Amino acid sequence: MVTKPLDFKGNHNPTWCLGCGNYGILNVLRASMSDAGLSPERTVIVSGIGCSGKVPHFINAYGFEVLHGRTLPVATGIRLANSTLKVIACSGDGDGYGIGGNHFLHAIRRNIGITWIVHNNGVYGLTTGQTSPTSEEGFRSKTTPFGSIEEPVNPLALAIAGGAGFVSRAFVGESLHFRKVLTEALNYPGFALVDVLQPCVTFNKSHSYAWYAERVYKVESTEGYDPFDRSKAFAFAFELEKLPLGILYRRSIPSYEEKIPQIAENPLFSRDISSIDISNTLKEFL
Amino acid sequence: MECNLVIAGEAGQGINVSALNLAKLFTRAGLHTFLLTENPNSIKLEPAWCSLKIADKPITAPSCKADVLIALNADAYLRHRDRVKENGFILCESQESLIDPRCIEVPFGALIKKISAPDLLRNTVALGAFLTLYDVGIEGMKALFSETFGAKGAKIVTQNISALEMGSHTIVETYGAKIKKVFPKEKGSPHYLLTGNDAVSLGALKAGCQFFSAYPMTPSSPVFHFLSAKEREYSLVVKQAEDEIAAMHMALGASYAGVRSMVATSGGGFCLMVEALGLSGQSETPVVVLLGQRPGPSTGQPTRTDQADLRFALHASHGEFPRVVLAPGDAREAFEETFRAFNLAEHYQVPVIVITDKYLAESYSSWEEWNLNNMYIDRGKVWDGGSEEAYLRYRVTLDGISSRAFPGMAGTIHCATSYEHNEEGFYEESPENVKKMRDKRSAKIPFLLKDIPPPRLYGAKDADMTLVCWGSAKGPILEVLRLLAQEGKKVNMLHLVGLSPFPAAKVEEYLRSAKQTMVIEGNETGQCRSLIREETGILSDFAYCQYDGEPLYPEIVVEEVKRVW
Repeated sequence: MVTKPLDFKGNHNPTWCLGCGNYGILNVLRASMSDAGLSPERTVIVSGIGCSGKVPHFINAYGFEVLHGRTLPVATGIRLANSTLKVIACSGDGDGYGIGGNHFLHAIRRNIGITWIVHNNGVYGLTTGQTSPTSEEGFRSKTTPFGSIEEPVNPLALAIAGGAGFVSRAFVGESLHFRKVLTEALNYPGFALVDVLQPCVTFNKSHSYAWYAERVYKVESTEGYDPFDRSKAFAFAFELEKLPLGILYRRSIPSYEEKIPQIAENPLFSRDISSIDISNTLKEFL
Repeated sequence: MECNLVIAGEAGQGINVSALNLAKLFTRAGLHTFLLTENPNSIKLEPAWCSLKIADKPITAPSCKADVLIALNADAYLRHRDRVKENGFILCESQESLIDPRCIEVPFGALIKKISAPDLLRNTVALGAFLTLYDVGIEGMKALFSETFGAKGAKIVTQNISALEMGSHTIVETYGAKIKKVFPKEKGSPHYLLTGNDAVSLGALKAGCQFFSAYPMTPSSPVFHFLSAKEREYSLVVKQAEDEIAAMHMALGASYAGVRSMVATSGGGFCLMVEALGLSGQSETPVVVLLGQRPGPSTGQPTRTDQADLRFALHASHGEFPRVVLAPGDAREAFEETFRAFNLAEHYQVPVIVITDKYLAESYSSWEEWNLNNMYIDRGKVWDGGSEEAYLRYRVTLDGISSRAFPGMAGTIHCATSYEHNEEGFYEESPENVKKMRDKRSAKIPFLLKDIPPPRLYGAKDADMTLVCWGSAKGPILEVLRLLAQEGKKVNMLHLVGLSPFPAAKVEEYLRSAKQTMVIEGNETGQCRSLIREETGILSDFAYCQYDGEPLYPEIVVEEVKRVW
């Protein structure tokens, strides 16, 4: 389907802070949806709670704004009910890697057809600035006034270790590159993680656009780049001084939906349930 | 004619399999059966037992007395000898028990060794002895063994048949003259033999449930197992989620996308589902929850029964929103109410909780053939594009119900949400909007009240005492009515199935005309009794609360009723 980024513009205007990375993510998402040939009517955006959770209201597509941390199970249910839909989930780092961490591990091993965008700004923004699972050690916030004593979670390494089929990272300040990565993710048939580095201009002053810009580089411009090589992907994921961007790892594995014969040809949604005959099953109890 | 058999031993001895085979045998012969199984929270070694009632009339509850006890070990004899009637029999192998005149010695272990069969077949020897003692014969059971054990291989079938014959010979040799004949021989009409869980599963299949997600939890797991096995035949998707939080959210996702969905759990799992129950309420996404109660709190008693989650089901989640709570009284009602649950969930776009408990969920009962006519699917208001008005997901209507639309449909793009919202689904906090939308959701309640099953009175209207109960207490209390009637007492029963929204007017009408009332339920705090008081202002004259993990035994309840009246 031919669509333009503007076709995905929703009825409402965002209310994020001026300079918030979410504006960039929203624009890139609309552009990539167009690049991937998605149709507004056949796309569902599932979001959690947090500043990232508001995305579906600003996009012309079906949306379900669910609970904090629960984007992936809801998105999973939607895909299983109607596997002809494109399902995109938007979480924050707290939403996806903290409260929803268990769902993250299991969505990976299912390889279900969901594109998961994690708006990763290393802080809880909507709740006015607490430490997050991706906050760096020493990060000072309202809940860690003496500095965080926990190491941050490494979502990319976790995803690669968990067997994810598509693991990528983008930076909102590199929008053209982000757009390419996200379009690739949208075209991937299984579970695709796009961890997006974004500044929170209000509550995470240490990680500004400039801070990220100094550290990011693109994996595809490195020598011998091979996204199918898991050990190389791990090496990228464990780089902490510099921040590699791009598709760190991918592999061709069957999607979850392909392995369920009941939905291989037609989605559940299309079935007629008006008169189901259970008489044969009842006979099993005679 | 009525016979109560108790088979007792330890977990892993095949007690349930034997008892179920017996229940099948008698059910197929046209008799009525009721099988209660009591298993420990362990796979092996700890005490297990089951109670099988066989009668020529419909049975509504098990008995705490036994005509025959099969004690597969010495411990089983000690634990259960007191329930055996004076003129009853105890089949056992323990030498110590020979001073008990009710005992018939059957050396299970020695007989098993003779035929070099595994010790697991002790219970089969006992079956042979029981069937011969009651002159039923063992031919029917032999045929049943081929059916039940056939898939495990010919050797298993042959060994079981040999063990059965060993048990039978022992009785003929040592007890031949005294063989008791109690069972009618004529063939009756075919009966179903199923558990409450089976009935829930059948109701879900008939209702077109297409998505089921769960995390295993006793006593609801058998529904999960059953639907998993039927996944391909009925083209439904069954998913084991990483936890109950995910299970409930997956079901909501599937429902949002237009597919009937269900979860099944017990109290502990329902705890984890509660946040999503609120999401269902706020976003008006239909879902059916099977809540199979077991004693809590916390891990509680995983394999025992209780009715202590009524208030939990009624109030689970923060905030306020309409919900339906249905508590079927027996397997037949479990089938009907599960079917109804899906219609109510989609028609009213609310969560529907079906409450069972271990006793109802796992006990087998026999039923005459079910009539499946007049079971219609109601999917509620689905946008057909016919209106001139633009689509609004949460449009305010007289009955509070807005049209649903599903992803993939043209012209109905919307965002469902967990936030308070306006008719479109966008976050809006003006006091006028908030009140309007809350009123919109609760506008469903008066309509729901007409569609939930009303309280039902059993027995004569002019009784001297009305016993009030809910859910699975139905069967035991029906038996209480029968036992008290034999003593010339005029007692009736008011049974509640629909508990939310609460049918206050109808309950009040019944209770105002009752001479005396007594609420009987399986919890400590009298949850239903206080609910009735809250909703009608009527405090029942008497109450009996049982909270020991055991089912309500009619004989015990009769004594409790007589104690107060």
